[in-house]
Amino acid sequence: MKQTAFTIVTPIRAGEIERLGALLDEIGSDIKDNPHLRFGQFERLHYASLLTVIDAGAQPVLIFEGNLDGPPEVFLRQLVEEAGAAVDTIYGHCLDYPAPGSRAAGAVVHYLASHDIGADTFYVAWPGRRVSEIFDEQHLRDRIGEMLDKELSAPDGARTTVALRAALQEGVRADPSLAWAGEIPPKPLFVRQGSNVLVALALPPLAAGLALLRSAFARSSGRTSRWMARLILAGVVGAVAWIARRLLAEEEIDADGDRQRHPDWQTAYARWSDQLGDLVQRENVGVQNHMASVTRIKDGWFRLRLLQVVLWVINLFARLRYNKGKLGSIPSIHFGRWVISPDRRHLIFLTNFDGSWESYLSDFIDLSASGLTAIWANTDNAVGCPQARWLVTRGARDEPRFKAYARSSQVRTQAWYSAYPDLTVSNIANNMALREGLFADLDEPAAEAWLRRL
Amino acid sequence: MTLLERADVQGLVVSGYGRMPLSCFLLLRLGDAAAARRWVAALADRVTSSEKPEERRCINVALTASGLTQIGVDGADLASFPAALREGMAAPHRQRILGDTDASDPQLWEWGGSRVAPVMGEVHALLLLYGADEQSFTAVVDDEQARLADAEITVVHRIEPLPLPGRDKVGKFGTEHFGFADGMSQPVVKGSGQEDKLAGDDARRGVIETGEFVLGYPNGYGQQTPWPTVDASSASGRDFGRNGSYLVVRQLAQDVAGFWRFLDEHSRTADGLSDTEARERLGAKLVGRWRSGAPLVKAHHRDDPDMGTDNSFGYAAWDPHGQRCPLGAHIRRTNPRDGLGEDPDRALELANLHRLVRRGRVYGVALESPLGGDDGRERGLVFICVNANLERQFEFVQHSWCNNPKFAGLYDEMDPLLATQPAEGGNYTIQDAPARRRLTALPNFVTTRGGAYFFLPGLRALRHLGTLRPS
Repeated sequence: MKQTAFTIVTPIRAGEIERLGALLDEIGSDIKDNPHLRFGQFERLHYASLLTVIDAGAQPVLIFEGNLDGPPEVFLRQLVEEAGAAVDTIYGHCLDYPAPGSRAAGAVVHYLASHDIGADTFYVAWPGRRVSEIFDEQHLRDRIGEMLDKELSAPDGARTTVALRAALQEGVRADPSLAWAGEIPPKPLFVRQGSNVLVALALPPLAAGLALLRSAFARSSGRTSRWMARLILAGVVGAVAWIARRLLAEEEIDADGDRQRHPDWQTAYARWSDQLGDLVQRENVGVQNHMASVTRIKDGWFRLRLLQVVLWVINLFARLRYNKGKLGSIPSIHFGRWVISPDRRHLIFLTNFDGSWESYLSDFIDLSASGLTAIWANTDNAVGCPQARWLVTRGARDEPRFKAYARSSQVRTQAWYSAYPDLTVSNIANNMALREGLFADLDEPAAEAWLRRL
Repeated sequence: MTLLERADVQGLVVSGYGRMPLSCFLLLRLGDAAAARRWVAALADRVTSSEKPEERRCINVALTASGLTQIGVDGADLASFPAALREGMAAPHRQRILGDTDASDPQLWEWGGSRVAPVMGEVHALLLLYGADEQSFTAVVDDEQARLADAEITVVHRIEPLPLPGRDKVGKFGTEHFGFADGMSQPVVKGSGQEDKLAGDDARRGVIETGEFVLGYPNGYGQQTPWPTVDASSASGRDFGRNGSYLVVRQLAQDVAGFWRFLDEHSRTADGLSDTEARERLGAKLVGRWRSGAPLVKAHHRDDPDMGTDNSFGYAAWDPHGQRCPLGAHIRRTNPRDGLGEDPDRALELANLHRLVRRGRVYGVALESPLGGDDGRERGLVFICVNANLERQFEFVQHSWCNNPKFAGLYDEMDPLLATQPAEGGNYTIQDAPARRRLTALPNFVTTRGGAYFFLPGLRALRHLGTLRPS
């Protein structure tokens, strides 16, 4: 089943942000059992977050993030049907929400769906994995682990790789509640064939380029077509040169602006850092964390368009190539997204990740600095993104400043839900591989490797 | 390469003063600000620098955030220090990062922890005194204490480490209370002159950029870690942080009897008898080294004292699956070397962005017979480490490595020695062929009894503090 994202951004009524914030805090302080909204009842929901943002448009907005199995409409309908009162209580603070008299389920779903801005870049660690499969496979590993403990503690238990594996297979077969384990669901096409699809996508423009070069310079092509081809080539080269010059000019203006930045970034960050306490109060409660960040897109159409292109390219790679547990080389993201705000002046980043903020940002800088620079170099705040050169160099490699920039762009997540808060991306992968190998025909080294998964 | 400005850097950065068996750590509370400023300025002349540790006695000094405020650093300047230092070790969210919960809760600490009995417990400064012999040691302690009294500075808490037991037996390195040789694996500070002794793979593993430990030099990213300023209108104020470091001090009590009881109970023969060899092996599996210090990666069958100081190893090639040294063993968590990630070279580079120079000492008398039960006396380690970035180095090691249940692809276990285990006891996996062994119900072996983050200023910065005017 396909995973999808919704990002519902709704303006908050004047003067109501504090009451709405208090409500979200109440939900967030007990995400499982609060009296308003229990996300756990929605079996299609991987992650959700709710937060208010002051500086993401003309007026403060409420952001509702969802990461789902299946299309958003199905989830939103279920949400309104099963938790309509909570939706009313939350969205009653927002502009244009249907008045109490006209809150038919359809109208509410329409309201939510019409404010959904989706995602420009959407990353899913393990496309195709449903919430229920993730639960089931963890249960399977726990059960096999218990069987292994029992076998090892039995004086006459199995002691070789082959015998142990046979005993565990037998144990699973003997338990009818684990009958599902042997039927391996197919992996989505883009996970299996993504790289080939990428090549296929790249081929036509490449072929066109070669054909153009050929007709521009080969003797065999006619005079007219030769000159036509040369004209087109010149156009392409000119356009690329123009974009490059424009980019360098923008970067130089930015660098000048940064040198004159007042106060300098360290002072700006020191001033901001009073707000740090508020952000970290719910961090590191478990092994996963959430981060919401809002930055201002630099002025001018060029930066906005460039950002859109970068997000589109990264999204394409996230769909086709980075769909096996890593975004670039970053192994710690379950679901992440970048989306441009409705006023097209802000970049919203929402991510659900393993480990601490510090280790996450270190992963960003150490493992994927180019891609992240290409995104955030188009944005700014009081601290400022460290200067990029040629869009992808420098930038995030300035470790202290990039961390300061990311921290100061962060907005506190008021309510955050994770369906499987105790599992990391790598745990999920290991569980998946354990199930896939359970009844597979494995040679001795592969069987040893399989046993190491327990 | 930039050479370390040794004359301005406090000696603790480059030396643990191994030749000075006697030491005493005084946790101080400053009184009158003007008196404290005079004290610190005069102290700068007596403080031991990194140039050449003195023969008979050494003195180093560090300040907490509240100590800096007390001595006259104003709010705007204090904001130039990192959040970790300003908030202190006992901030509620840092408790989660450091694992200071339950019995290790800062509310129960003997010292430090901003929330404990604020008047008695709050610490402004740390004075570290070392002596090579009884006479010089007594002299320096008496002299410094008299000067503290003159400056209206009170001693809040006093830690008197003992010479490391077993030093002679294992040569350069000491033995901590659980009985294991400690301190073999230390990063070598580039530019300190000490890196000349290392070459090849050992240099690649062990020589770390100067800026990872001392502010004002390129760090592991080739950049300057921002340093704090105090009164930026003067040159010495702008350079206040240069040649300074951050110092982490934690008093960690060790339950030696509990540790050996646990090992004994989980290594008995089928008939329920104690099995010395199996007990020693299990201890080694938790630590990652045998008692002598010999690493399991190299000496995986039995202890080999000849390898007691061996530090020339990685995990990727020798033991990728933890079947020699378990993935969650103490030394593998505190320094995973090249073992995390697919590319060993890159993994080593990344792990080296989180290194600590350790300068701790043991305290409390050794337990005579660890298997004979507890004697009710406190003993443990005064953990001290030097780094330039508290969050990226010390806190990262503590949270993302030691206390991380998911470290190296594991599921639900923490550092078997250090971690505060859950109420029902912790888990521990010993990887083996054909299958792993799993221990459950691990108790806590270590309890935090006190701690604080300090700034360890350069000598010029100490003098600069003396010039501050009352605000």
